[in-house]
Amino acid sequence: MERLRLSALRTLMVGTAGLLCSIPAASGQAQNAAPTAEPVKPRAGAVAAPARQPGEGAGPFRKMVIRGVTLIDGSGAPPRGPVDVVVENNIITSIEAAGTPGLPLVSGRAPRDADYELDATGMFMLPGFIDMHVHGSSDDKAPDLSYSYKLWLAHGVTSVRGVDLAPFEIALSERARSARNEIAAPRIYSYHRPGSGRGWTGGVTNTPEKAREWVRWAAKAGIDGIKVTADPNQPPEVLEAIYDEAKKQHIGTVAHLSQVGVARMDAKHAGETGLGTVTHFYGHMESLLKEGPVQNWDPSYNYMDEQDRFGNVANLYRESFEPGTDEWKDYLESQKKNGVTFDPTMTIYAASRDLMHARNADWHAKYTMPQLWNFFQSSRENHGSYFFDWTTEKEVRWRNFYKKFMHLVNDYKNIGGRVTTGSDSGFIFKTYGFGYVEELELLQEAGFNPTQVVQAATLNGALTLYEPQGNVAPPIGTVRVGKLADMVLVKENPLQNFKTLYGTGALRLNEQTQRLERVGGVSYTIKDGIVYDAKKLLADVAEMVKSEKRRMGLPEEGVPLP
Amino acid sequence: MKFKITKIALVAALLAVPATAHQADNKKPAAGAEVFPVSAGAPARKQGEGAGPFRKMVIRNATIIDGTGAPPRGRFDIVVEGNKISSIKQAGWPGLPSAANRAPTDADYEIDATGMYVLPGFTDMHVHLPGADKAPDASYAYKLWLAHGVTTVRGVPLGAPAVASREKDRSARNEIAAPRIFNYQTLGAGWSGGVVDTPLKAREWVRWAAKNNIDGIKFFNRENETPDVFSAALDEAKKLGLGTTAHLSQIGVANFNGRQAGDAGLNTITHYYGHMESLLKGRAIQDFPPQYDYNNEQHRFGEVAEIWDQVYGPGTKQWQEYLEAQKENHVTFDPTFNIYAASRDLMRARNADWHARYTTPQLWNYFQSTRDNHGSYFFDWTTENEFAWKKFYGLFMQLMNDYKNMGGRVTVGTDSGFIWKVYGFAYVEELELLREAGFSPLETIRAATMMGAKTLYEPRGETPPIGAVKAGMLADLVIVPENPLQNLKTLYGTGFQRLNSETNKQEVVGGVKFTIKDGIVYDAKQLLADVAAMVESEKTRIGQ
Repeated sequence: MERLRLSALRTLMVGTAGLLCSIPAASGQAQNAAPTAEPVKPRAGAVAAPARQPGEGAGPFRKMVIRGVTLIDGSGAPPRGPVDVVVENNIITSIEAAGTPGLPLVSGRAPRDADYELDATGMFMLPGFIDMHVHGSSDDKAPDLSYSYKLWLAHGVTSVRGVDLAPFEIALSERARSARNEIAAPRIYSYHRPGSGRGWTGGVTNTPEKAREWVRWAAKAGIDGIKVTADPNQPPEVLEAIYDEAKKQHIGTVAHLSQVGVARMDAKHAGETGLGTVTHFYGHMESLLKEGPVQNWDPSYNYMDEQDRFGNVANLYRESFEPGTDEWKDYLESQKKNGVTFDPTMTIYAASRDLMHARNADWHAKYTMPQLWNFFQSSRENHGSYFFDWTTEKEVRWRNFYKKFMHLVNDYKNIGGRVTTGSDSGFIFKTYGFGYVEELELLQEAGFNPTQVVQAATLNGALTLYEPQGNVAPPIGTVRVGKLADMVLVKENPLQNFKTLYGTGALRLNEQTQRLERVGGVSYTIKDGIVYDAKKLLADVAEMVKSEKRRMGLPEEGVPLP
Repeated sequence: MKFKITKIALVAALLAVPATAHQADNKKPAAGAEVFPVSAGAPARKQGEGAGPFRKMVIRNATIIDGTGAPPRGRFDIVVEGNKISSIKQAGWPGLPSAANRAPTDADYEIDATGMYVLPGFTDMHVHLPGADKAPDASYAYKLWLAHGVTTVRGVPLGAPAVASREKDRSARNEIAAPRIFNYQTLGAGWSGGVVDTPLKAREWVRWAAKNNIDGIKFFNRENETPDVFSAALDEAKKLGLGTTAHLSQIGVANFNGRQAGDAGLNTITHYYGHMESLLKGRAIQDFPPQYDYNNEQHRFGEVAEIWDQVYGPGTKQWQEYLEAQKENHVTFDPTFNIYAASRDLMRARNADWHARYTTPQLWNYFQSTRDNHGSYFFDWTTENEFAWKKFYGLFMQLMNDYKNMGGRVTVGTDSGFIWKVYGFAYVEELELLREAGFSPLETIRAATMMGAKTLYEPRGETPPIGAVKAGMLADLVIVPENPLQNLKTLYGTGFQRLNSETNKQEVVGGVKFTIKDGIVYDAKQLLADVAAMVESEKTRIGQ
């Protein structure tokens, strides 16, 4: 009985440890119990994506010209166009004016020797988007990783930071396959948890020495960075050692400062000791508590009861200092001085303020895998499915909490702090790709103007990914000569309406027919000089979803409602 | 052409397109009644639709949330004789079984409400009936209201004067299964005296109205409702004991805003119109972009929200003074948050849980954005539009909450039948939105019950017979299996999904159990089933 319980617990823990909300204690235990052997049921595995088929993506080309496009370059510069963008293999080699707004394009423009021409007249070009917080579609959610890859690409995401994308070895292998374009996938930046990796034989990294050892080992194994949580095996001295050693090894760090350890390592402390990115909301408000560094938990609180965990989070809004106070400003100034990136991932918890909105989103029927849909349904053990009895009260608290969190993120942007866009889809009613566009909308709601939103989604992410390597001029994140050819082509102006980026499009009244129609969606996503038809990617995913429904004996249309 | 006029006139009576309404009035001044698509009301109440009233009925062992703001208290036996609550007796103590064989033992009807909550019937302060273009008949709305605990509605207007008057009387006689009806009408509606465009005519119409079963006046700030006409009508209404409520639309608000209307004696400001215009900062008229065209509804409703950064904000002297003045004038705020809530989150409204089963296909079509369906203004509704509305709603909600906090009266109204809002369901959403605005659950319930009743009866100089669970009051009650203070969502007819901890599966709980109006007990689930059947049959008929 005890054994059974433990193994069930372990399944739960290990299954979720790599994911958004971390149950650190138990993930440590699992490794303690069986540091080298396989756990009873390993964390949800991930099936590598099938190889890219002929016809999946065109190119790269010796020379490709994208003609007549309006450019939103990601740096914060205003849109400009029309321009012709020349790509040679995977590099942007020239951007030249193609005419003047309001006048016909100049005819016979150079170059004339392109292998591939894309007429983008009337379209907008942006740098490929960067999703700074992802996990791939694990095998309990989709048949293989291509489900998440294709939804990302279809929404213009050409780079992802996996935190982690998949188990260590699979993630590194997928990164390499993507780099070689053997798979249709975004670029992968592979962040991993301390102690992970089959080749690591040093056990739990619960001392500064062991932690440093693992960081050196993992850096040699080629990881791009480390994802940490504040948990019992990673007390402050260990986390500090990790931040420090990671810097020495030129790899990045990102922390989910979960409630289990945040009392001793809040975001301010983490920033002071060298952390690169604070992801989610955890740690911010805890740095601003009015009555000392421990949140006032409800006496019946049990962290393992996810409704307790996520219900209580929202109480931070009334326990923390208000916008405009000295404490609020000092906190932000301190983080800015330490060069900390905020990656708020507002989308992933947004269901907490409006569950019906999330559950009934337009895209579930066609694009959400049936097993992912099942995973979203509230139950005591599906991670992130914590809506056991989610009341008006709870939503109102979350609305209040989000207002404050948004205010913080916006103030940070306003003083010059760096904010990026991450989604963490695959939990809490958020579907890959769609969740990313929602994050853009939420940044706008927080007070970012549309160009600032795009900057956060492109240049800012790139800076944070390349800074640990000492590279302040990242090869992605802007559309500039000399940069990698990662770009998004869209028919609608996203600055006018980010909703046009959803794969399901935005509703607009057709003045001719006087009927609503869906417009937008990304037209093309170009990664490493390879042109993907975004609509085709979406069709692939829709077919994949249908086929899974057939396999599971479910109706092909719609989603089952409880 | 005739069809077109009908359409315009319908719109006019509802969310107000004052300019065109006036045109329609001009063209067919005496024909107001016939332009309403609903000429017949609801079918007569059938055998088995509602039980009672009874010589004596006892509702046993209930926890009472009495509507006055008092905390819940239990356990009580509520005795109803005819249509009145005759006594409320303690039945026992929390945590102990209640004594058996409690008096009275001679009741004709008993409801075991053990574990349940009893509240006063809810008051919806802003309703219209669906026209024939939205539902087969009025019972669609009536049943959805009753099924959500709404036992009293203020029609503003419910329909054309003749229809509204007849329906009001039929409901009073309980010939139809419907809430109590208060009949508010627009200036000039129903009479043969022509357009009301002078103070004298306004007084004349009000006197006519008072004699014709009309309980109050709904203003729109239409072109002819100039401040002098408006004020004369308010004054006459006061003399004759008629209530007044105004949608201070953009057409007239530049010269008659919320503050000015309150000073002139208006009872209720409905929607948001007029409030922010009383708080403009550095300008006297809202700054509209040059291409603005009021009859382009995306302009109208898109720009509404842009006022958020043109006004004196919370905490300023002007903000405080505005609220103090309105309180001094005894103005009721009836915010109807829900009816424009789609503006801040269109997808949510469009995909709401209840549409599939409870929205008639014709209402669904009406909701689709077109240039001429009123309130279907989402021609190209962007992230930016939703952002502005979120900001605007934040401000508007704070204004309502501040007003409540200083002792001002705020009520609950819905205005369903437009902008993705379905009768009854929208009422519960309005409660949630008050909660979001900062009203505690008890304050929310009080707004829905006692506050509405006061505003309805005050103009008559009467103590309200509804709005509280108390001996001597009319037996208008809602009985619910879940505690609404714990979760307002349990009031939705579609219920609430909760995880069953035994099975680790979600199940649907809640929904109103019984709605009692005038001592007649309606099974709320049966009412919902009736509506679902009506929707199903309409879908078959229309071929959807």
